[in-house]
Amino acid sequence: MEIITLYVALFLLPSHQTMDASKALEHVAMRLGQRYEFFKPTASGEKALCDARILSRLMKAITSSYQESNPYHNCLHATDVLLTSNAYLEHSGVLLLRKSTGAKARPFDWRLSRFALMLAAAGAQHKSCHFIRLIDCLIFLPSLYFTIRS
Amino acid sequence: MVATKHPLTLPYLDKGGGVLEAMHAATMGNLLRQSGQTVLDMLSTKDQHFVRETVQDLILSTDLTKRSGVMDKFLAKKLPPDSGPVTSQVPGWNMNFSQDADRLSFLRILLNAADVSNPAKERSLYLFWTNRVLQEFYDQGDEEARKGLPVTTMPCCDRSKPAVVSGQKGFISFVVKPIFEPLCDFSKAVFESEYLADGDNRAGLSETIGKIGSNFEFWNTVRILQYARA
Repeated sequence: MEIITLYVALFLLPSHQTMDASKALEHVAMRLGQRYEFFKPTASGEKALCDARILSRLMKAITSSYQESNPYHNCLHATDVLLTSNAYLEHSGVLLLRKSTGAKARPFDWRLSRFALMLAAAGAQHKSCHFIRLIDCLIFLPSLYFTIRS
Repeated sequence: MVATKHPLTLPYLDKGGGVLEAMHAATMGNLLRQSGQTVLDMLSTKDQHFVRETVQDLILSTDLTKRSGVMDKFLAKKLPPDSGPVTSQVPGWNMNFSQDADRLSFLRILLNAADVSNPAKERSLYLFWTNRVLQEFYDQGDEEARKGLPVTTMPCCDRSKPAVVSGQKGFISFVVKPIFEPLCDFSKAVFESEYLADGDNRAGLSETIGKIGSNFEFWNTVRILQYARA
């Protein structure tokens, strides 16, 4: 699968659904969570990493922190970086490396690192770099602390 | 905000790097330390610490002023051609993904690449994002002018003096290529590794380099591109 195909595939929705930009980050994070089995124990017996509802809530809170009026540094760009970083990770080949040679060699455990990459890509780096609007963005941040609580 | 010494920037001014990235890292760190239900609740204490530290490190690594240091650390893992036979999981690279530090070094490059990946995408996607980022630069220039501040020139935020072609060519040459070329070299070496799972022989990330070259050439065909205010 080419990188661009993976990029598009992660955006795909069931045919009866449409998606606006404000839901993109949450949608893609949840798709990644399902794809990488963050929400349930893996076949090899590893525990689930997080609760899907909590991740969904966090992504909504992060989305709310972006300035929709910014043409570029908004939640759609964050979604793009989230998608692209994961597509590159898959295509780089590192996930296919084994700890040793031989038929029974096991792969490296990238699960936690991949989880951290997802949070970093989506989380906070792409709020506005816009000079003036950043002020509004910063003022808004404290409300995030309450938004993500149950 | 830094130029005006806005109070909101003060907690991050002494971090020795980008104010914005320091703020984002601190914010995300706080989000992940919340009391009550958080996205890290199901992890052990040790794993929670690992994820928090990794997230903050990755966010800070996207600071433009730290990018060269991030690249240097990654490139230091590349073995010199005359290094002789070295046991390595990735031929030509002293990289061991059993170690957190090596894994983190790679993820930093990956996230930085994704951050500036527009020219590595299909032309339509690249131009879609380029149009958006230019619009934001010019909006910034307009507001700087209204405030009586010098209009930012790197990148060009003055819509009356558009420098799209030179700006994009410079961005590709000095920011994008220096990240993607070693990343693609590394990926190519991974697919030559004897530690690779059997049956996998993919192209790695090489297609991105082709797209970057093609998109750079595209700007050679564009004589004038102006973004007039609507």
